[in-house]
Amino acid sequence: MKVDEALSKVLTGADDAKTTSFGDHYWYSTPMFETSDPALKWIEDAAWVGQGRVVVDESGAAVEYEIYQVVN
Amino acid sequence: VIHRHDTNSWLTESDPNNVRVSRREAGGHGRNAVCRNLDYIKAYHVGPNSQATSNIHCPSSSSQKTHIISHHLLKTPTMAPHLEKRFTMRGYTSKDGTCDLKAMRGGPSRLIVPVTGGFIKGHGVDAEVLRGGGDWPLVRPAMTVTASISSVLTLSHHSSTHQPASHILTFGLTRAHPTATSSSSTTTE
Repeated sequence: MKVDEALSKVLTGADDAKTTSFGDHYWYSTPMFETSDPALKWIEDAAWVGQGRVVVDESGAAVEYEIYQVVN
Repeated sequence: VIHRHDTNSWLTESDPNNVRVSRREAGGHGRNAVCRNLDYIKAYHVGPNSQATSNIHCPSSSSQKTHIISHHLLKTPTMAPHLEKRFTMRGYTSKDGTCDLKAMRGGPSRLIVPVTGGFIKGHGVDAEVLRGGGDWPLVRPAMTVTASISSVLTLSHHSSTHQPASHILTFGLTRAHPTATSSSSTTTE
C-alpha cells in the first residue's frame, strides 16, 4: 500500500476521513486462507490477489479488500 | 488434419483448405514444423488444462514449396493468467487499541491495530470476523505500508449446502499470522 492523503486521514483517525473506492490507491495484497470447512478447502490452494480501500461508516473505520482468484 | 504427437507438444493443422501439412519433431524440442504450399499453419500447444492456438505464417515463395517453421516462430503464445472476483472482505479497526511501536531497529515503524469485526462474503462464503485479529503494518519512511493482517472468521453458512455455522476461516496477509490478544498484550505465532 502506498499511503496517499485519503489513506493518511484514515490511518491517523482524522475527523474528515472518508470512504474511498477500489482503484483510488496503489494498494494490493496477496491474502491467504485456512479453513476447517471441507467444502471450502479449495480456497487454501488457490492463488489470491486483493485490492484495498477504506470504508468509514457508522460502525467505524475499516479496510476492505476485493479478493480475486488467479485463474488460467 | 491435426497431427497429434503427445499431449504436451506443438501440433499443427493445415489452413482452411486443409491441403497438406507435414510436421516433424526436430532436436527433441517438438516445436519445429514443415509446411508445404500453405500460407500459414495453425499451431497448438496442449497442456494438461488448456490449449493455446496461434497462426504461424509460412514465408511465401513461389520457387520454394517447402518451408521450415523455425523454433522461435513456434514459441509458446502468451497465456497470461487473469483474475476473477470471488470475495469482499471488510475488517473494522479500533483506534482505542492501536499501538505504535515506532521505528523497529532503526527501520520502518510497526503499528498494531486491532481488528474488531467485519465480514467476508461472496462465492458461497459468508463469514463474520471475530474479535482478536489484528493488523500489524510496517510503515516505511516513504509511506509505503506492508499490511500484516490476521483475522479469524466464523462461517455462518455457504450457499452450496446451507449448513449452519460450525467452521472457521482464517484470513491472513502474512505467513507470520500475528494475533493480538488484547490492547495491552500481544503475541505472535
